[in-house]
Amino acid sequence: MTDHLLELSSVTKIFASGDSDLCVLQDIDLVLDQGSSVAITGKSGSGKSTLLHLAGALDRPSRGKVLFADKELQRMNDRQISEFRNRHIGFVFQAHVLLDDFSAWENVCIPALIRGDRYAQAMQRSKQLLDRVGLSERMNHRPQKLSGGERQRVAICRALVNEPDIIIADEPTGSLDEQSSAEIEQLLFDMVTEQHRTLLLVTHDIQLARRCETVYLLQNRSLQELS
Amino acid sequence: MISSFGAFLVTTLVSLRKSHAYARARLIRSAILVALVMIPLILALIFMDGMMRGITDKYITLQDGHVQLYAREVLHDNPEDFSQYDNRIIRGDFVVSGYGIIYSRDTTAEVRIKGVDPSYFSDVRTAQMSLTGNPVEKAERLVAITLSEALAKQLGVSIGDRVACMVVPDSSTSVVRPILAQVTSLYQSGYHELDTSLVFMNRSDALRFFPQEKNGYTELLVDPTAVDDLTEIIEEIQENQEKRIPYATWDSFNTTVYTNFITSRQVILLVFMMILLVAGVYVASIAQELVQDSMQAIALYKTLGARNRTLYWAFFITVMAVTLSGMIGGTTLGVLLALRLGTLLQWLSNTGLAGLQYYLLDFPVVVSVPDILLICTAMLIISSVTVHLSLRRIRKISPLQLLQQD
Amino acid sequence: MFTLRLAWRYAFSRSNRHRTASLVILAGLSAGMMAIIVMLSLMNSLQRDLLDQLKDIESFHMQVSFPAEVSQDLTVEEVVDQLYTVNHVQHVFAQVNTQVMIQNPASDRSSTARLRLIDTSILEEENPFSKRTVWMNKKALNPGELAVGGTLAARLGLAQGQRVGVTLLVSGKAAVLAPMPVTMVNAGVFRTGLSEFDQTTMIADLSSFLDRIDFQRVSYGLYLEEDHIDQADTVISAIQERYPEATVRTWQQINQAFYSALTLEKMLMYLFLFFMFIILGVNIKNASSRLLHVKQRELAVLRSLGAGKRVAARVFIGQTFIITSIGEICGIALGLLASNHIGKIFSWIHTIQYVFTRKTSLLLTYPFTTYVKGSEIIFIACSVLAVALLFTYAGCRRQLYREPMEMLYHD
Repeated sequence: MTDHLLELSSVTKIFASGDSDLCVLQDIDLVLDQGSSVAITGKSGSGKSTLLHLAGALDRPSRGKVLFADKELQRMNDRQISEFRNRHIGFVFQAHVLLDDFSAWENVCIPALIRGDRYAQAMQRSKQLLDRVGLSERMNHRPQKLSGGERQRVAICRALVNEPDIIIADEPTGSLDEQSSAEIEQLLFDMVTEQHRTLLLVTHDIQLARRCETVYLLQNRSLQELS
Repeated sequence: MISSFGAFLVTTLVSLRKSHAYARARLIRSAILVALVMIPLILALIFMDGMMRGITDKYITLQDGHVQLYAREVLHDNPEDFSQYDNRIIRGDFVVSGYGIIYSRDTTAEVRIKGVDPSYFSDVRTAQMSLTGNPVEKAERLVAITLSEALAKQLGVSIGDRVACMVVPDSSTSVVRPILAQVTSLYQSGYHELDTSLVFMNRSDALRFFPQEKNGYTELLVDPTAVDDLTEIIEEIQENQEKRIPYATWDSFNTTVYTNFITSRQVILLVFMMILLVAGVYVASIAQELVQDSMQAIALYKTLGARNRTLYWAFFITVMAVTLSGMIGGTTLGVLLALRLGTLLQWLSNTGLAGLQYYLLDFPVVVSVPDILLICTAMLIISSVTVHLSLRRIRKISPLQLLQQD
Repeated sequence: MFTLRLAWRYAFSRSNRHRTASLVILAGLSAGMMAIIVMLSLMNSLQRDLLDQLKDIESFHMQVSFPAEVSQDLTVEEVVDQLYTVNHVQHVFAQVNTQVMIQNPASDRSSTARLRLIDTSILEEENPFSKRTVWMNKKALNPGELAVGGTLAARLGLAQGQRVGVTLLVSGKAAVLAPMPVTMVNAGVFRTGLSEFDQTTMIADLSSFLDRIDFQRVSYGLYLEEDHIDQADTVISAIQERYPEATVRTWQQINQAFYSALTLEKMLMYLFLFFMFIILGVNIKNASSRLLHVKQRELAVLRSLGAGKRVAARVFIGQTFIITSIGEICGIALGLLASNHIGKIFSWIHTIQYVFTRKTSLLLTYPFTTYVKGSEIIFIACSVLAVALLFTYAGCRRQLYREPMEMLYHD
């Protein structure tokens, strides 16, 4: 039994590509402890997002294990995995990916509703979070009416609504301008710190990466810790 | 109407380029669905028209004739001499007609009795029926009659057997006496309603029971293409007579039957229109999809200076081309299938379904071009309207949509 | 609940103009349901009226007849009394239908006709036949008298009290059937509303002819209790238990050809009208498939938020369910409304048509009534829903079970 919150142990990921196989990750070991922040950097195409998806149980490794609180994720069935993602992981994607047919506060509510929370309860929590990120006056607007920065703030609130153990952010500022990027970065770290969440961040922005406690470089299919 | 750019656009949209296989497949599927809508409509129309025409022809040829001339004497011994008045007249047979009851051991049937000469069963008439035996040829001294196979089965008799008849007498004071008759032949017209009510008797026998002065008339058959010219034909005959002869035309007999036909036809066409309306909505959805998929492209064309009108017509022509090809394909297939309708109808009649006796299942398939054109025109009009409504969207697409970014 | 909420949003999503597509489909479904309900209610009413007339006037609810072999052992009165004791039987009338020749010396006209020899209490007691029969003159019939159908009487120029010669076929000494002339008095004229009956039929008392008519020609017309008219199995069993040699025929069997023809016509109408829903089903399939394609990324996000694998399928089936249900409910409401006011609608259409064509339409001026069967509406609604769901599944099947997570890869 370990104290690690999330552990990737000898994880390998191979994609079938036409006649040949493409090995993206090989024997990766990674641990996340409660309350820590980890950044993974690397060049485009190095497999950072793949690593993130394995950590967030969006994909399964070809070899190796992914353990959350000592439970092996590969042994879980679809229902258990879905529940795990809903309750323990909060995703922030590069392109926010909000649902166009819902308003900002409804988008934030969705994970809570999936969990089974009552509508009123979910709504209240959603509005609190949006208020915290300064979007209380925009909460009834649909994503089409929000700017890029505002949408990403909504995405961050959505990631936090179920109070997950781990926030997984995949290039959260990748599609924003410099000023918006800085605001989102600050907001992300503030929220994670306030709520004592663990952060796993993928970015090719070294300065953003350095804000985390530990920084890894993903290169040649393996992870190296950067000092 | 369409410029070279418009033509270019049409070829792109109908995916004549090799790179657009998916889009082409989609349009082909749409055309196939339109064809699948048209096939049953065309089939049903041909069936309905054919059956109604078939029944009408049976009534005309075997029962009533196109015209009945109430000259109580025989106008011409040779029925074909009537063509001297007008070459559209095929023949005129002198008949006597009355009603009676025919009965065998324990079954009775109410019938109409037509007294005819054996020459009555000409090619025109035998084309409408199958005959077994020698129709109304007198073999013995008994009255010679020709029954339908259905009636014979009902009475339990066949050729050579004897049956009894009571005929409606010419005078209400005459005593009704049974007449012994011999079945000299059997016929089958294929239409049950007619078969169970019509009996042919040798004319010379019939004249004993149905006096010429009261019950005799000349039954005229004309060329089918001249059915609408009956008044003119009758006038030709009247001009050659000393006195005008009272007459009646085929549509005054069995008015209930013909009225029912017209009513049924109207109802069926109404149902067709409803189906075509829904098909029109489907065609509109093809247009919508096409516009939706081409939104970026439309925005780009507008940015590059294309006019709404050009874009509208290009899309309109594309969608209507798909609809038209589906329609033509469906109509052609429908007509081809209808020409094989006989096989299906034969199978249907072999099922022995009791309800089918009210229908005629053996009739020549006639493709009524005006009716088919009516259906196709309706489909085109409905589709044009619905597509036009869908394509109004093109005006609302702004070039700015091309430039939208986060 | 969440899935339903999502399904609702997707049903009317503005993405890819799906809302317009949904509304058009909804309108199509409503129009289709309305059309099918109106057409079928008209057919039901016409057929019901016709069949009710047939049952009450022509064929009775059931007929019992006996073969020649049993004639010596039974009398008509005994059989009638026995049949009355069968449960659910309300009335029993012994009858013989025979073709006759009728001659009216007063007008010098003659005709064939059908003579129904029957217990003339049918004209006096309350029963389905007497309820439909309107008497012009006299009601009660004595032996030697007959009542004539209105149209037949007109054709013969027959007035009340006139003597007519009737030649009917009875058992002969040498032949099985032999003509027997009798003179009868026209006691009155009736109308039943069934035109064929009124054109061809006369009614007289059976008892005066019983000695000349073979027992096997007598059949027994039964009127049953309301609930058992169409489900007469128990009655048939009871009769056959009492008279194993008897032939029992229900009204459907007696009018088999006509009933079969009506059923066939209705089925064809069903098929044709249902064809509309097949076309709409293809529309639904295309719209759902396109929406699914556009929503792939959103579905990936939902999965990442913890939604299960089947959520996508449930949402898309759900959105079809919503659109179809709303369309059907609107269509049913419109259909019922139109059915209730069908006379006014036809009158209105007729007026417009007359303005353009100056011709009267027989179809539009007919005094239609409608008869809506709840079970039919439910059946049609369920069938349409099933077709819509099936088409949605067919259109989305491949994409629904793809792994949407691939959408999240942006490297």
